[in-house]
Amino acid sequence: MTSASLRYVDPRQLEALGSTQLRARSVIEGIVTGLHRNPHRGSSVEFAEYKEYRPGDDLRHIDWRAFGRVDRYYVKQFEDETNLRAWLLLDVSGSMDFAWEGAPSKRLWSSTLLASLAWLLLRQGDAPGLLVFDERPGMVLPPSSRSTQLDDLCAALDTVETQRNGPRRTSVSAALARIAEQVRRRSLVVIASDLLDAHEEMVTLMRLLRTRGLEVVVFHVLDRAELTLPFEGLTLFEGLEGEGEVLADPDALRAEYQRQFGAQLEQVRQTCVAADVEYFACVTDQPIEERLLDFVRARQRRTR
Amino acid sequence: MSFGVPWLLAGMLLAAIPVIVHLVNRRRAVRVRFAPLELLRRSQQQTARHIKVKQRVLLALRVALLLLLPLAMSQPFWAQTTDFATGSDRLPAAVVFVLDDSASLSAPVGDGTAWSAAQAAAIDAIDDLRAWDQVAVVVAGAEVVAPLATLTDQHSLAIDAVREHVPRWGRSDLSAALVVAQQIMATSQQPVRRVVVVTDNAVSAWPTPAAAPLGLGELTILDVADPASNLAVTSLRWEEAPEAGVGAWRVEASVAREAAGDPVDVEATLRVAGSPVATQVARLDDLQVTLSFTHTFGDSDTPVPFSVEVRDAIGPSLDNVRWGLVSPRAASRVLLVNGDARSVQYNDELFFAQRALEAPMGGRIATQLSSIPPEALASTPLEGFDVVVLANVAAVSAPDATRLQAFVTAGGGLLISGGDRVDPTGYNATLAGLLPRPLRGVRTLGEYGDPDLAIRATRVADVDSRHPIFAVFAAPGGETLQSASVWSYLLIEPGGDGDVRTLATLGDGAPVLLERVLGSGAVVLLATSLDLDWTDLPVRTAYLPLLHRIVEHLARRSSGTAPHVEVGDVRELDVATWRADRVWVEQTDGVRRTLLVEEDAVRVPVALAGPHTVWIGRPGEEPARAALLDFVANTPGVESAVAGLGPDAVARMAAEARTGVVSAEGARAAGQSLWPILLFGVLIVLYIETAVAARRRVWERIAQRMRRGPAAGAATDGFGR
Repeated sequence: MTSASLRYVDPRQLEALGSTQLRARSVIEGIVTGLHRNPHRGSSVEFAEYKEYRPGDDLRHIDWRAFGRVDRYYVKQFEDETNLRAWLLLDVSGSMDFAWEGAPSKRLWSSTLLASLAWLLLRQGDAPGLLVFDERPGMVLPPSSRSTQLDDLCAALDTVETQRNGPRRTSVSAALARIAEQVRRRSLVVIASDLLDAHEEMVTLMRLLRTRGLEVVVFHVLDRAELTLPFEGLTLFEGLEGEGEVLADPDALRAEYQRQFGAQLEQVRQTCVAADVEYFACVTDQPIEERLLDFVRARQRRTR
Repeated sequence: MSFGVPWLLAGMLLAAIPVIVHLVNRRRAVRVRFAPLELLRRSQQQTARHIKVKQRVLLALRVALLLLLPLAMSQPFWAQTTDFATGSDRLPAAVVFVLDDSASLSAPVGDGTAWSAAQAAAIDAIDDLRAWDQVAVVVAGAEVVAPLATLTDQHSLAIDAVREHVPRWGRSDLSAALVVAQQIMATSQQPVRRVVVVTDNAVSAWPTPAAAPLGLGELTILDVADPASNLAVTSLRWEEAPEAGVGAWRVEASVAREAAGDPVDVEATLRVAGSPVATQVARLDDLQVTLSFTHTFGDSDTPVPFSVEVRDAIGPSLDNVRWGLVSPRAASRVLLVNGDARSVQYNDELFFAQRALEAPMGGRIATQLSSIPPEALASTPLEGFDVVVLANVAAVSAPDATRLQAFVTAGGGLLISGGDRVDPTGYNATLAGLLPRPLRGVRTLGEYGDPDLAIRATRVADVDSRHPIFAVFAAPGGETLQSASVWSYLLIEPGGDGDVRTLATLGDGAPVLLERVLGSGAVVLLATSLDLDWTDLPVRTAYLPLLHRIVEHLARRSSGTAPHVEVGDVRELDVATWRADRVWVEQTDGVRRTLLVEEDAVRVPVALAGPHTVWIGRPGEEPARAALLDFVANTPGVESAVAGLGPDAVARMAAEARTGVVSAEGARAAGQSLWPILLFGVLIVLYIETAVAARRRVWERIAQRMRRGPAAGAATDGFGR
């Protein structure tokens, strides 16, 4: 671990931090202040509402008339700027429960990531929403920029965290289809999943969303053990999504497994690139802040 | 192929372990919950065949490992023979001749014995040496001797050494002799080294297993005798046979032969004091037969040697006879002089002593008791007794004292015990020549029945545990002697000459048991009583053995019967009670050897089988016969095993010594050890097994460390791989 990363929250300590909100706050505190300015400033002239001035807001948008009437600074906000609706899609299928050797489960890591992202979005006036899915879409929390949205969102994630879903399979396509049906306006769609069911339909849906003006971001969350297959000796592998059992000698098939797993990862990455989807590879033993900063920097580059 | 340690081959059964483990492991696996199971399943389909092959290769390697390891440890070797001379045969050589003079070489060969054949073979071989060859001579035996210990090119010296050596007919240890030969060889600068062993090559000549020192040089075994069979008297037992009459003894002899064969008639003769007294013929169907003789040995005062001899014209002659020694008068004759006879039995002075001495010891009656009143002493001839006991006798007349003194001086024993009737003044007057020290009076600490007796009485504090009387009390439990209370005893004047020995003292330091050696006999003074008047010793467990030991000691029977002695042994004679400074031992051939006594014992090297008679000498006195120290010696039993060391054993020995072995016929035998090759094979298999069994990750980590060094950190790309 580098000296810079020492500021980050150790992923192995995530669970000990308690609720999702506390975890998100811990993650956010590690990120440099002032990095999250709204990237959509001045992109529209359609007035939407006033917002009380906060340090960092552009002084050009202060409504001096309102100041004259109520002696307080208000900033005029426009349609695009105020209502960037962000759909945060969390995969809660059985495979997301996997964890190995002290690392957090993929679900815990993902929910913390999405909560932190929601915090960031709310801080700059955007409206995050939540969709939890496994083999079909589940709990939905519509996007909102209300001050209580973060509480609601974290509470929803905590509820999901305490639920044991059992051996449910992953279906990103079903979740994307639901988004495609519901979302009419330009929005940001963030998916946190291990994408174990990646196939053609998912690619088609991603492309559809892109053509409808939605930006899609994929956080591909995996455990280090899934990459390296560190087990030794004769092992009985039990599936987390009801796939049954496999008796195997990991030493003997490690090379072949890694080859096939690498090929699948590359295919997913290529698919995302082809569909103009932002793709972030995540391993649960890595700090969430790093992935979050990657995301923010990528967004800055994209809007520049 | 032959094996040095064949029983280790049983270890090959361990090869079943990997098979069992393999089968068990198939049923035992670690359970892990894992997400990308479909991917794993697809990978396994690709690698299933590879796994199966690897598992089978590993199983085969492990089985091979456990087969090879016991095989190598059982020391297999391959015997080879060749009859061509090597280039080294033409170079100057140092040759050490090792001769075997053990009893097995007494077997007849041609007109002489195997020993004479061995001498002739050795002399011939020395004659055949070239002028520049050096030679030395060593003779194997229980003790290795070197008649010619320095390598020399004067071959006549070696021939003389061989010719003049007198065989010792003991047991042999050729391996020890080879070590001596190697030491002699180490002094040589000759390019070729050769050891020639002249022997009958009997199994008994080699320790188990036969071994030659490493780097000895070429080992040549000249086998001079190969007896087809051997008949030997292997053991003798003798015991009294009272049913056959007074003084009759039964002698049982076991006669055995080397190997089973056709039934033969065995003729055995019992000889007593050199004369044949009985002959028996028995059918020997199997390996062994027992013949029984009954003979009346009479009433001799001295042990009588006897022997059982069989006729055997083939094998060694020395083991055809075996010797024994009968002590006809085994029981000590004791005259008890009762100084305080009572009509009530348990009040009688000798009530306890008689019962103790009448008790059998070791299953036989050790004493013949005769009891008389003091006034009958004058009319009783003492010559018929070994020990006289004066039990609480008031006084002894001067004539009786003189007779007793003569009796003791001639070898008899006298025990004087105290009591209320003893008159110390009278004793000092008449028995001055017998008492160890003068008496001063009587000390009374209490009376029998006194309630305070336990406090007033004293106890036996110290005993001379080195004295034969107390040898038995040195054993565990012997401390019971110290539990006896004494409340009255004779006070004894201090001082005394060198022939007086204090054997036990009381808690207050007063002596309670003293011994005085007088001529060939001894006097023992017990300062307390033999009954319960002065001590509770008679009701203590120590009383019986103590009394027996005193009587045996005074009767000179504490040496017991002659133990098993073999030619080549060193017989230790305990002469502590004889007060001798020299001992003469006469062998069966009439040779008498003089030995000096050291620490009350002499060590007699036994050179010949047969009876050995013993005389002892004191300063300024003529040698006196000590028949009780006589013993017989026999030929070592192991020498009856005359079967030759097999060619396998010889080849293995040659393999271990990294040398060749040449038999008398000139064929060169060489043992090729296979176990180093097998051990190398084990190492190779072990290496391959490790390489195959090691998990691929281990190799990957090693390769990674070699590429990047140990400080290589975690990967930094997207998935950290």
